[in-house]
Amino acid sequence: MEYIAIVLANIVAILIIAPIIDGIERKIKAKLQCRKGPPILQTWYDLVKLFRRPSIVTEEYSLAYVISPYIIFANMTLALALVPSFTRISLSFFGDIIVLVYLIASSSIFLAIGSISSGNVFATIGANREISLATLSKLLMALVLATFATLKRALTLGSIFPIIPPYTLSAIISIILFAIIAYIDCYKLPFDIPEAEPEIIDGILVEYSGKSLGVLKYSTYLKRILLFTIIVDLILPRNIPTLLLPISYFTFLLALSITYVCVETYFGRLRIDQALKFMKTMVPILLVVWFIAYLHY
Amino acid sequence: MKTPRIDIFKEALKTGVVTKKYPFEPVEAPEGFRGKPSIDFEKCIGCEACVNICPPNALSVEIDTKRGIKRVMLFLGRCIFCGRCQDVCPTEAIKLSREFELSSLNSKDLYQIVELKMAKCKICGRYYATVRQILFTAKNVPKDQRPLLLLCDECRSKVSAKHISYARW
Amino acid sequence: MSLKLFRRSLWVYHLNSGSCNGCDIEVLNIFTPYHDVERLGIKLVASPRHADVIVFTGPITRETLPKAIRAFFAVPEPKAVVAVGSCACGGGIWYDSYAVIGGIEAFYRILENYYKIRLPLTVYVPGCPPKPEAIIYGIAVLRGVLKQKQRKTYFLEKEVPALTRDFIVNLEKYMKQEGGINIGKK
Repeated sequence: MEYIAIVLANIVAILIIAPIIDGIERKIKAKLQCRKGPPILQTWYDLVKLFRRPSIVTEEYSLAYVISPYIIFANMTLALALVPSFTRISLSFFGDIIVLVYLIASSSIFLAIGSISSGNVFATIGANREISLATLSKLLMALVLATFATLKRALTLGSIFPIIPPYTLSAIISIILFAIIAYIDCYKLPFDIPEAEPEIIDGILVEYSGKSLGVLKYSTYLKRILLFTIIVDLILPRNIPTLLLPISYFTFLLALSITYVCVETYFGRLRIDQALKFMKTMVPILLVVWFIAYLHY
Repeated sequence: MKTPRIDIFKEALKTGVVTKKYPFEPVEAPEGFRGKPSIDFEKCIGCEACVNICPPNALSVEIDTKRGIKRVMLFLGRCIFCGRCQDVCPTEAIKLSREFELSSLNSKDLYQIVELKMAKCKICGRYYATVRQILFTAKNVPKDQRPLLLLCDECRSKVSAKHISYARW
Repeated sequence: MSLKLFRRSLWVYHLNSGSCNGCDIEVLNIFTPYHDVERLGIKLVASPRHADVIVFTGPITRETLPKAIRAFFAVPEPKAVVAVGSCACGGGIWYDSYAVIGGIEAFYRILENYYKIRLPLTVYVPGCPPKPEAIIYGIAVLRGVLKQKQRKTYFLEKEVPALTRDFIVNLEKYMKQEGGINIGKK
């Protein structure tokens, strides 16, 4: 009973801080552009406003269009329950690493299906891009997680984290590669191709409004937090006392998001073929790293 | 010289925040800014010079022939702030201020209306010009010609034609 | 009106309905670092479905009318409208052109006649183009943060001197006596 309560408390805490982290990112981005920037709680204000607004449905929508935001949100919350965040306790069972990959991949498939079902042309372009990015980025993510699993010879996330104490070559390279893949998966600036705002007017999100848009935005923030959490878990040492764990987790999370934002301000958007080319070059590297991990180096 | 990208941070730290606090502290429009045109009601003589020159017809005029009232209306919603009315006004009654906070929730609030009383022609009894306009014109007219100003255009031309023909004869 | 919802967050959809781009530049100006309305929770969105407020610029040409109506109905209720510039407020310099509907009020008349809808709260921001500060002020008025300064002014001339032959001939003398008539004072 306690176990479930702790996991639920964990999820609730992450649900609360996810928009705040985004608010901090917006503030930092504003400061880098010499602006004053929105208040830190601005993302929360936006979300609350969106949740209180009705959603308009298109004329030619189908069921997938209506329910896919909620499926994605459920996927993300479930995935957050799988990874240890503020505490070491998480929903842990044999093979949960595969479930994690499945949840991340299926959420982006559902996003594409939902936006195609809206019947909007721009949404279709966005979905097209989303799928072509997701096929590669989810493959990369699966390969990286497979590398971790091979390194620790385990299929449970609890026994994989943290990856670092044996300072092997493959562990360090795979962490760096995972950071890059997480960056791509966050829809950060050079890779925000599916929802390119000035180009294809928000792409996949174009037909969503009100509540469903709020849920989709919320699950995007949750996805960022999820990927950050995995990175933090990979490098956070195991011997930190339990009381200090939430604080150190939050500091690491903040440091990661700040780094990512600083990187984001550098770049303009890539073309879809450039992004795909970039990811294609990563596949052989990852396969080599996987092999090295298999050899225990 | 190609600047390295790390300079973004240096630049941001050096510049600081450039944002103005506008809605919470007042902002003065620069000198020579063409803002809201406002009609000085005491000076307006209803001569229609501004109405004729206004490019988007933001200034319009209505003549109420029953009550003998000339209504000059300025609709700020259509005004393009060109300042030609200011140039053409003989009494400097209309002037462009530097005020720019004109937003309103109701388009009726964007109207400025001046109603001026008109004078009746002494012969035919028609309303023909505002009293103020007649007085303004009278100052620039020799004293012996002034009584002609009390007549409407048609009557005046008839009367003056009569004067001329008498003089010839 | 239900503008409490937008007190902290307001997403703006910019709808150019045949404007000359003067107002569009000023609308984009308020998102620059100098004015930065993101600090007030205002964000420019690309899709009308995400928006709370439509920023109308331009006199609504015949060509853009059907698109403007579609974009108008794509915004979920409750919504509001900001009419930026003389063209959107009252048709501007093209108010009587055959190619132009003539501002937001004519647009509303069409909506009322054909769709029978309740009209949204509208704020008029006159100017050709308005200063960026004027647009920010308009949005502040819409949110109820600042008070509206502009009021309808109405002046009716009450007393006029009786125009007699004697009065008009000896105008200078009478003007000195009364002192109240200040016609043509430069």
